[in-house]
Amino acid sequence: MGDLVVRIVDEEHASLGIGLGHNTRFGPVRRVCSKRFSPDFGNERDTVEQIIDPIALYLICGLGAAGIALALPRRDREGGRTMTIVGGLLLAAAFGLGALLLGLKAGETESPLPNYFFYPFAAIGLGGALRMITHKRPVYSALYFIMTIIASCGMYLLLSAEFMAFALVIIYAGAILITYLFVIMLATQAPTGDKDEFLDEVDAEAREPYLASAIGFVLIGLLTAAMFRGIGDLPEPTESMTLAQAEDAVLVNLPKKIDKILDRNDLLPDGWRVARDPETGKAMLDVDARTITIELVDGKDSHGHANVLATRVLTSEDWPADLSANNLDRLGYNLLNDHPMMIEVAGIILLMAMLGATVLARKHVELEEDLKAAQARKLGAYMGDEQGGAA
Amino acid sequence: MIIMFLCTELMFQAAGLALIAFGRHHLGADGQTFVIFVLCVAAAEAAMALALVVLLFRHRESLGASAWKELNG
Repeated sequence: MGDLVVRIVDEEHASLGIGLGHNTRFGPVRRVCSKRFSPDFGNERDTVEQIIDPIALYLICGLGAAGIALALPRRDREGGRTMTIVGGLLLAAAFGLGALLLGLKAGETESPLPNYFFYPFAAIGLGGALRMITHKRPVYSALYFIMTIIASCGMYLLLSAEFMAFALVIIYAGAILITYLFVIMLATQAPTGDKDEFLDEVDAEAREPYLASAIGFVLIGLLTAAMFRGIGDLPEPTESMTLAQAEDAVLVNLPKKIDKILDRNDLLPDGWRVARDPETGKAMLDVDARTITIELVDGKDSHGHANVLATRVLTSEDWPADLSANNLDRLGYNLLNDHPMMIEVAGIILLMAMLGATVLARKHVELEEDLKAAQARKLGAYMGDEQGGAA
Repeated sequence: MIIMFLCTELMFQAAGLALIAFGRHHLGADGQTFVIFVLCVAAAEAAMALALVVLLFRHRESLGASAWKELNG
């Protein structure tokens, strides 16, 4: 049960990380944290005060710990249901207080709240996660987990990771969770007469709920504080660059895509293409200045390089509106260019999992001796027929 | 036992969210690439969970973690 709480720690940690987050494509909202990261801020030591009062943070952590300890399922005590409700309310109060304080602080520093879409998603996600670990019946747990996944999908969208958001819905909610539901429905017994489902004692009860939640929330508090104190060591984000520029930077690596788009916009005469760097093969275009160099090529020279007859520069007026890299281009390029090893490793892991699962779940078929002999005879007769027919 | 596996999935989810958030913070795509990897591991784990459940159920007719008590160290 200890890891349950740690999981919540991670979840909240992650959500805090974005909660203090950044402008997205949904609107030109100024960053709350740009102040924290700016070098002229001086003393990095008290950055946590910029976000939230540390004492309030620890108080909220304590409140949350008490709430979750009460909410975790147990059977040995009377009124378990009321305890769960009280615990849930306490937790909700803790999170609400946290959000309120964050909002107040953000108002003080005259920055708007980072993103209004974030809060409903965070609330739904955390609520679903909480209900998932406190619910007694596995089927409901799995369904609440789907809710959490969809909420975190929303957060991925806010973070402009569109591809991952949809992959998450399809793979996680669509495939993995269905596997789990299948397992649960296959293998758990239906509730018998008695209100409690026939569940093992170990599964229906939280083990060491108080200790686990205390440790978990101590970890939350420390991690959150450490994250903001230690942030001076992290590289500063490039303030001058916007996300769109960062995404377009990958365009130089995709000359064929540029060719296609220019061709679609009737910007390429016959035989012309985007100029490639002869050494690296990268497209010669300046994303910042919005200029594209195109070249007329005819065959190849003796070194295998393209024979360039003429070059021309398209100015920023000619930059086609649909020439930009999207999240998918960037992710695909990053995956294949920077982490090709990971694809191999993932393939091996999946293969091993498949083999392991097959080996674990295989059924040893025991046949009687005479049945075996009869089958061997039948097979032999069949083979003989086949050979006779062939001859 | 299923709850335990579900909980590890939730941990993966949290880690993925953190990866994407920090990846976005640094305007890089590495975080998202790693989330794909996390997704692979989660899928592999789901397959193993299914196999374990089938095996356990065949042996003990129960899915309780205490049915496997003798495995403890």
